[in-house]
Amino acid sequence: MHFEKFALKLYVAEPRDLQLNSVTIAFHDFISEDALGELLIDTVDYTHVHEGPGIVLIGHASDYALELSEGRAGLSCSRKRDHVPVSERAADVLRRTLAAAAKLEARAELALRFRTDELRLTITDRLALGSMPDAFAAVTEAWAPVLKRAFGNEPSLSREGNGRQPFTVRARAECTASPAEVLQRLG
Amino acid sequence: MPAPTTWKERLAPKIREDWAREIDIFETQIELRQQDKIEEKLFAETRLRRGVYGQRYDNGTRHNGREAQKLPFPERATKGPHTLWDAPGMMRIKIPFGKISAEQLDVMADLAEEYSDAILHVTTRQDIQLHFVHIEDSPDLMRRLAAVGITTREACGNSVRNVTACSYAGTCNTQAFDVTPYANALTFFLLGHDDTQDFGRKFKVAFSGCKDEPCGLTNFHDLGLVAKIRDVGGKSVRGFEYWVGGGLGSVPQPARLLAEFVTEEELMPLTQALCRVFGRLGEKENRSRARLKFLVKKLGIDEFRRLVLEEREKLRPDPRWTDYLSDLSATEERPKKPGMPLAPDATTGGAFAAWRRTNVRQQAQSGYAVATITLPLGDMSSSQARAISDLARTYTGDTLRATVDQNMLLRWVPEADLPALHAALLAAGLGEAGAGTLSDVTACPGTDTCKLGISSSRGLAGELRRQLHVLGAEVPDAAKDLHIKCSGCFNACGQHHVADIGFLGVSRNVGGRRVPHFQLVVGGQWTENAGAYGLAIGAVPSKNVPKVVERLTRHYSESRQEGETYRRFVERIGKKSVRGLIEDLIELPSYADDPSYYSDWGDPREYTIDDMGVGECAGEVVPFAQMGLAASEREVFEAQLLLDQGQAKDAARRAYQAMLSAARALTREKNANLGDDPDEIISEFKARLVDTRLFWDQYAGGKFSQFLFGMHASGLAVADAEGAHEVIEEAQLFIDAAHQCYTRLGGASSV
Repeated sequence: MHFEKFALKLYVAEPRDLQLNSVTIAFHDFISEDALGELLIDTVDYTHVHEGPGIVLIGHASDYALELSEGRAGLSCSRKRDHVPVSERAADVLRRTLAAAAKLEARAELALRFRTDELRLTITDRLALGSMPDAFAAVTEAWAPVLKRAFGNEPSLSREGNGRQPFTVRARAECTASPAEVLQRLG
Repeated sequence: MPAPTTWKERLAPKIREDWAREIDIFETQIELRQQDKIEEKLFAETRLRRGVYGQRYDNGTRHNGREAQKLPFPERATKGPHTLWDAPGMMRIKIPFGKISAEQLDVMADLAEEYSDAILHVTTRQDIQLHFVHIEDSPDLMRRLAAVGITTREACGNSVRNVTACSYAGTCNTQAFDVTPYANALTFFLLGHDDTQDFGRKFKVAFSGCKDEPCGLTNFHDLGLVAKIRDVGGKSVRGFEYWVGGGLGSVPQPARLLAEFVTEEELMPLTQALCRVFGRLGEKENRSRARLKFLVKKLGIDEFRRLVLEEREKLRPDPRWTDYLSDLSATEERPKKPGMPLAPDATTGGAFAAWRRTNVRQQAQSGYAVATITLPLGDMSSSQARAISDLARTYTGDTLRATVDQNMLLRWVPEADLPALHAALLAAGLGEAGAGTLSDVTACPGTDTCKLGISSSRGLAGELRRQLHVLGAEVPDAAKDLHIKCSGCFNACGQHHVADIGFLGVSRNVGGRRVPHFQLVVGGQWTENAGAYGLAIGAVPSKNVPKVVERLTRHYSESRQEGETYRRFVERIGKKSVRGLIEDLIELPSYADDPSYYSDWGDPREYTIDDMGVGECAGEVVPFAQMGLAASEREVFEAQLLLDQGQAKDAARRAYQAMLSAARALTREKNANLGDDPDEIISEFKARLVDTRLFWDQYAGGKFSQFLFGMHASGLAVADAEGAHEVIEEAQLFIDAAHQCYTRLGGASSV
């Protein structure tokens, strides 16, 4: 996958009682505890923005967010600059997202659970997209095997969005495992 | 043909040649800095003048509430003193007078998603800022902006910042005339002008179409221009009241009147003369006294006026002073639809009515209205930005403006379309009422991202918004139209001085712990272009500020006299009485009793001021000549690259240009009117520096100057790589000699 800027989103299972203030605390802790194994810099609160980025954990190579776009809460991991080999990028970002989700689930005060039967991949690398004849095919080729390994069954991938919104692919599969279990499966 | 692999290739046909070149130059400067071939202070000012600003934690240290922690950024060059290369920064996008097209907004939405955090932030000076941007992404970001007609040049640093103007200009009932074409012309006249390159601090310009409304805020600008029509011999003549030396910050100063009426023909030359005087006499060493307001105060307005008028007489005429006057309609907006009144049977109740009451203003043009899109804390997501651009295309014909109170305007909306527009805004989460009211709190970035932030102005503003929305109808009617503004420090970017109720971030040391506070400032005047500044009452713990607001607004609504403004009310009851209202809220509970007071709004860490860094508002003082010499060095480097690519002729031309740049930079120290015609530069350089033996080597005499003269006389006749190589060598020697000459001149000399 030749994209440098893309994001993966896992959805919150029961978003009704979301404790966003506690997520802010968790993200601050992630920074000071070096919890995600990559350089994390700051947190920002955008909860005043309707269906916006929510609470963002800014990193050097990735940003994480408990975000509210589409009117659905979820955890996203956005890769900003990638030194991971092209062939590894899909698995790498999935691992990062699952690891962060598992860390949040482990914090009892958040009472957060993430679904693993649906993922959203957003590609904002418009330069790469513009020079690609069939981006969806390229994404499918890179992602389908990784998702199959993670979900344990064949995922369905579908293209969403229009020309002005970021290029989006939704993946669905039958999966009830926790992020930590999926992460283990992915290896 | 293969698809373009870089933004530079893809956008080349869409970018103005000079802007493309400027961005290429910046990209080269980035490369040179990484190779340590540009000194860090010079690079800092260079990037600031391209809108690339530092952000909190960019020194690589962050406090976690218990201790300072290192942020292990890769070890690379610095972007400036104490500013790590890989630390994310802020990109300020200058939006002259806040005017944005739908296409431009779409591009900024994409940029926010790709290079930032998917948020576009509208500032109190009609800019748009993107945060957490990596410097290496900035050239492409600039190219994508340039392709839609936006330059970030001189968005920061010691330069002419964004020229702001009343966002209702052209549609307003109270304007003398539409100031838009003048703001536009002055923006591009001053952009990159030689006479604006030698400032010791930033220089801010604002236009207002009238005297009484607040929209232009001319009173606190370095240069405030208020539209005025004067009858001269029975003919209406356009001009401006010309105010100078206003400013906020730690020492707020109201502007002083330099001239009651400056004709439109004189606007630019007088401003050029003003800039030259500021560049020449403004403070350069003491950064806290370097704004124009200090110079005006030091000299007195009469002497300052005399100097500006004297300078005006020395200026070399420039056709740009008046060229634009022949086509003032160039910036005129054309509505998409005919004006139509609101249908009598249109929905008039509920949310629409509330929104219409606070967010809609009738235009001077019949059947049209201006609709304000309330942006909480000035923020919109990329998706919302696209929704706004769609609405602009659908209803108004592309006529968006950012406002100084951090909202967006849709102008030229047919009144009949207002219900549909409001419904669409609601769907995008942008249909909130209350624009310009108590709950529409303005705030600078504060401790969220600013290196100078002391308290969390955005955290406080967000909390006040939230609480005031919860209170809703319970907020007393009389208080609903008051303005609250929050600044994170004394630099006052949140413009707290001119709010009815303003807050300024400070800290207090209590029992060995730092506690976030806000200084309460009341009775500022938002109308009459920010006509008066408020009075400081006392510092209140951050967590008590919502209670302060509740008490002040309640007391005002209960005790004010008919029609009394908040300023008049405060003057009547007195500062002591206001203080008495909040005296108990100044008290701070002990840490053991309530540790929540020891954290700031929106930030769970125990409060500290240890994350403050060195601000970049002031930029670095780099004289024009030094910038010119740095440019010549970069051009020699580029010449070498061209030669390596086998482009001998271009390489020789670039090397010649490098010598010319250095010669011009030095000569301008002796002749401020020096233009950019090569013949003139050569002639003046020879007369003022070579013949006077200032550009003279102890051993080689005038040899190095002959390299330039010879190349110039030859008409750049270089055919092969060997010849180009020779010219590059000569250019390098010439530039070395130029540095020696600059030192001999004492670093800088008076104009």
